[in-house]
Amino acid sequence: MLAASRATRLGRTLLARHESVALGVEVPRPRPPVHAAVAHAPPRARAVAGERELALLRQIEEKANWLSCLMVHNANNVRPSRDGLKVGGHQASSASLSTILTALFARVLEPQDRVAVKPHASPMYHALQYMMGRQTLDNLKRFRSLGGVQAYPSRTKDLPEVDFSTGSVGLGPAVTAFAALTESYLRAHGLSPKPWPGTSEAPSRPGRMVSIVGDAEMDEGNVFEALLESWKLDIPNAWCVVDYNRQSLDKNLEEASHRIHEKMFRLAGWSARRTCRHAAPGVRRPTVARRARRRLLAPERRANGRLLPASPARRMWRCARAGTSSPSNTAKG
Amino acid sequence: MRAFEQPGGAALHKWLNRCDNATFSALTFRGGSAWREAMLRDAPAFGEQARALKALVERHSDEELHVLMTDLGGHCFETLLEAFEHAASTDRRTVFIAYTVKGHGLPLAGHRDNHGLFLAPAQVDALRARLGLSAADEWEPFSALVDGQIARQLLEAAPINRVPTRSHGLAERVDVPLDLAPTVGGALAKPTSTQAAFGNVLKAVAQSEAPLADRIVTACPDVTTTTGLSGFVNKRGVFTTGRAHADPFKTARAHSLTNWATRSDGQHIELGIAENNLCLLLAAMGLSAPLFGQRLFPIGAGARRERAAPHRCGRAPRARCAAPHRAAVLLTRVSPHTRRTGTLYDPFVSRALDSLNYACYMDSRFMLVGTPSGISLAPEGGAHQSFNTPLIGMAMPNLRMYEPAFADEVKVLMRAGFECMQAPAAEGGSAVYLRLSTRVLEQPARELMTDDALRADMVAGAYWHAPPDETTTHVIAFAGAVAPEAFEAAARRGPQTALLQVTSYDALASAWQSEGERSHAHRVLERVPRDAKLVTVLDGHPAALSWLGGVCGHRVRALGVASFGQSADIVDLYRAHGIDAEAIVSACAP
Repeated sequence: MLAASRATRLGRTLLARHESVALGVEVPRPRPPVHAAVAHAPPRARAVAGERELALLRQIEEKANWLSCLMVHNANNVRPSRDGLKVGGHQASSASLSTILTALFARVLEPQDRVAVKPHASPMYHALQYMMGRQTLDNLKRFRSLGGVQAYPSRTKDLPEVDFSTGSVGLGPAVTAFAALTESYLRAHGLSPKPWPGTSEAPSRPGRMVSIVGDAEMDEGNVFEALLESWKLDIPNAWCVVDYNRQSLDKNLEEASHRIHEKMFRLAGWSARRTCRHAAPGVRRPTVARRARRRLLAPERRANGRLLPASPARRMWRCARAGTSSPSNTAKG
Repeated sequence: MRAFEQPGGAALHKWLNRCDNATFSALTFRGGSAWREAMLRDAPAFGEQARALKALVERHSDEELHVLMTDLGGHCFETLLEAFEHAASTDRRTVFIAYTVKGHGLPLAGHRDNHGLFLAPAQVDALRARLGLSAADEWEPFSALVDGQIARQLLEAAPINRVPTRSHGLAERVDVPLDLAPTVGGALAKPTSTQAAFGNVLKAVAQSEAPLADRIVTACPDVTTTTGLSGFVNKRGVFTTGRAHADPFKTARAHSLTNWATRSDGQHIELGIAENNLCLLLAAMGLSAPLFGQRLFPIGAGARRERAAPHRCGRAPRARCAAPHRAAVLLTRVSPHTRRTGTLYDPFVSRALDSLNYACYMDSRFMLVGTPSGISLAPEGGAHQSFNTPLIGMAMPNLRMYEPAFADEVKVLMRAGFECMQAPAAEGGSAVYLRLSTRVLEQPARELMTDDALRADMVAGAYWHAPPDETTTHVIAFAGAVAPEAFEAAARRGPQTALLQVTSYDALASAWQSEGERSHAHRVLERVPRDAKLVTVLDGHPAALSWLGGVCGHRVRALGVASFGQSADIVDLYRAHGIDAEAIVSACAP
């Protein structure tokens, strides 16, 4: 066990060095585990779904997209207006996050994970909450009217499911990073999170603090102010999901903006994952070097019908990528 | 099949790389036939690959082509779930850049103007019909789904849905000692400033065994050194998520005021100078109770890196004034943590104002300390002198603002602040903002801890130094650092002038707003004869106190700072802005 965790650390160091060479900056040194709870936490339920679940998720997504649309339509065109004001709401901006929010809430997030949802995706978020039995139909029908679903998710005015208010764009990534720091702080001081109200179950592992942001939010300087702090304080367990629809409020984004965004995050020691699949402008095909690296990092993969040699170095790389303590666990990928 | 791996994939990739975001958007909006038209139009320019590209286009129907071209990772569950699962295997911070289509699945998908667009009623009808819904079941969460019942079960069984509620509500109350710092204030108190008193109170708390001390976490945007905070930091340590490190200066036995050793149980978080980060950290830490069920008392303190050394101006009978004596260069480059000199001066509350607003909007609970404040920061100049922050404090909901003048008030108001931070919103709980000063004042000789009524008045927002009677013709009402001027003016005016100190224009005004004649402001001012004149004065915008005249209908002359300051000493600046004793006395003239 000891040897395995040393191997993991070494692997992580190698990985960090690799990235620091590529970026020309120093990536923070790997942190010794401050969260004793992590080692003892039961394994997470697998998020990756089979064909059957994928089909269900697509149905849920389509329905949530409809409900979100309907909520805005109902508020603007069906509900009587008393003041002649446009009620508003953002159908397109909500729809852009339909898959991401469905994936997160249906499969990925656990109770201890906390989310700051992109303000304009409020209808989509509440539609999903409604489908999960955490929001009422009455509130959906009163979207943007007194006591109903708020224009932008609000901790104090919506149901208690909202973890962080949003509305002033760009604050989500910062407040979630600092919330992750807060939980690290609490755990390091022996103040682990209390059991969930009404249960005796306390979170077994630290929550992931997730911000879901529009790509245009990256123009807010405070995102990068907070990134710098996340690097200095080496904040763990923060996620930022960028809804890269390449449209700001007014127009299309500058070409390849993602390269700038990604670099900024990586400079601050974040790992960056681009989920482009295939068809999108600015998607680069993997270079030879990248393919080689990917092969090195990939789990057991057959090349020309035979297993690649599992050298100790390769095993370590794999462990570092997977972040597990035991090399044997990662064989399953 | 992955698009780039099929025959013609390389050409498709090349075509896509030449396609800019706006064209991609427009084609996404127009759909299959538009993709076909554009790709076939461009194909001849692809040389050898032209035929392959054409073949690829022709193999697909319009609808298939549209699906192929808009099949982005941000709309692909396999891709997303894989990415999330992979990232979940470590605790490393991770950014996901997910390609998506704005308006995905809707008729306005991809159109660059779609941000403010709505589906027309006819489009909604068409969408409803396409989904097999009718007006009767359009709001049903699982109607018209192929596997509605199983989809419901999947959502009900979602990991995040496992617990009854994820909100912890109110955390356990933490006991706050009645006297936070027995060494601060008292009959033998020496001249000091409110900023120094704040540091001394925190230091005393740090040294105590009180449970409160273990729950306090301080944060400072790069300005901890040589202020009162050093005492707390030296005692309680600097927090790190990583390995503990000794302070090289301590190891090398080089003299330094602050011990920058980091440890995992440290209680201070050292930030860079960006004030937004301070307020956003306070926002997050102040939600510790509802998010984690554990109460924290985050204190965001900005204070200047200077030593305040008193020098008499010789004009005030009961208090002496002093400009801070600069020694700012002394401690640059103390450690890697303090590369720059700087501070959360009170004026820079405005710089972090949106973040502060955000924190208060979320009803987060923290203590923000804006110091030093006002033109009392004299030589530091107009860019660093705050004067409108009292109005910010008054106008910001979920934030209780105090501006003490004396050291013993600081500890009383900090105690009230800690109670306020953990009270339910319905009982007046909120975050707290202290506006402090580096101006050193002579302290009143009093034993505040034995005077419950006086402490209660302070917390409510105002108390009398010289109470009015039926002969009173004037009332001087002051707040904060101008205390010596107010005392001098009152002494020069004689016994017919009463002297009122306002410790919280915010608490006073909000209670008056909601409680009217039952408010503290009304109780205080109804003792003043109706034909007496109020003269209000503070080192801040006069509107923070001028409203006092409206409480019981007194004439008012409001003194304060209503224009930008400049470098000078306190004597000149107070005269220039009309808040010195002379100005107060002349304002009393009928």
